[in-house]
Amino acid sequence: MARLGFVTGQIRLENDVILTVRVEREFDLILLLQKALYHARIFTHPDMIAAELTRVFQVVSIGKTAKQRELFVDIDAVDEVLTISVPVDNEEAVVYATTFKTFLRDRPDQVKRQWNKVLSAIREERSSMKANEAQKEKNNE
Amino acid sequence: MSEYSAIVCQIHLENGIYLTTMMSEKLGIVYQLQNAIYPCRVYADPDMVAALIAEGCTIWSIGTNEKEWDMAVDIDAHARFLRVRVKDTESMVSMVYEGSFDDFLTITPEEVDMRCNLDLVYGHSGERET
Repeated sequence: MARLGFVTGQIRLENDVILTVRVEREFDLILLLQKALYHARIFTHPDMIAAELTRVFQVVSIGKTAKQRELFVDIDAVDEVLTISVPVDNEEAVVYATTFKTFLRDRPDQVKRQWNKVLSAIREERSSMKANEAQKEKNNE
Repeated sequence: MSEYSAIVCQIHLENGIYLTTMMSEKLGIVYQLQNAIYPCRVYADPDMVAALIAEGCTIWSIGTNEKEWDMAVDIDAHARFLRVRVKDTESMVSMVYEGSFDDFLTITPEEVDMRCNLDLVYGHSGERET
């Protein structure tokens, strides 16, 4: 049976272009991102990388204004680095950050594993912080 | 005219996004543009129109700055309206087409191309690009 769910991501480039893309799973986002960056690795111009991304992804919108989405990818074409962030408690938390070179060398499942590991560490930290705050409030009362 | 006789076409949307496409003939650009504009008639959001144009045309760059062009297409997604301008060898800009998306789809790419080559439909705008 076909999956009805999809993940919407925003890819932000340093030329102020924001591409909103739709993928079936987060894993597909990594896979397609690798495919696009593999082709675009010879360019260091954000305009050209943005064009390459549209050839690989199902792009639903191209603009300059950010929309609230499930996950964010920041691409720095000049420094050749990328960052993946996800919302944790309505705040953006970086779950993966590396150079194009390392990103292209890693397999998508390895990237996802690393992403999950960082995300669970962030969530654990946040929940322990919340628990500590709740405990403090309780003690104050 | 750009190097290697390629026509550089810049598509400008009201959200400040510039899409650049490059082809050997203006005819090919108009043909691609018509195919891309066809589904745009149902949307009035420039972000979505930009995405559809990127899907329908072979886009080489997407940015927020204007670059050197031989052909410019100004798209007003809200009004569903577009304007095609061309630059001659002496950098004189002429408007060769102006009309709604619907009207643009009724004309043949050859007709637009012919207008581009004639450079005479609306005459020179009098502006010389430097």
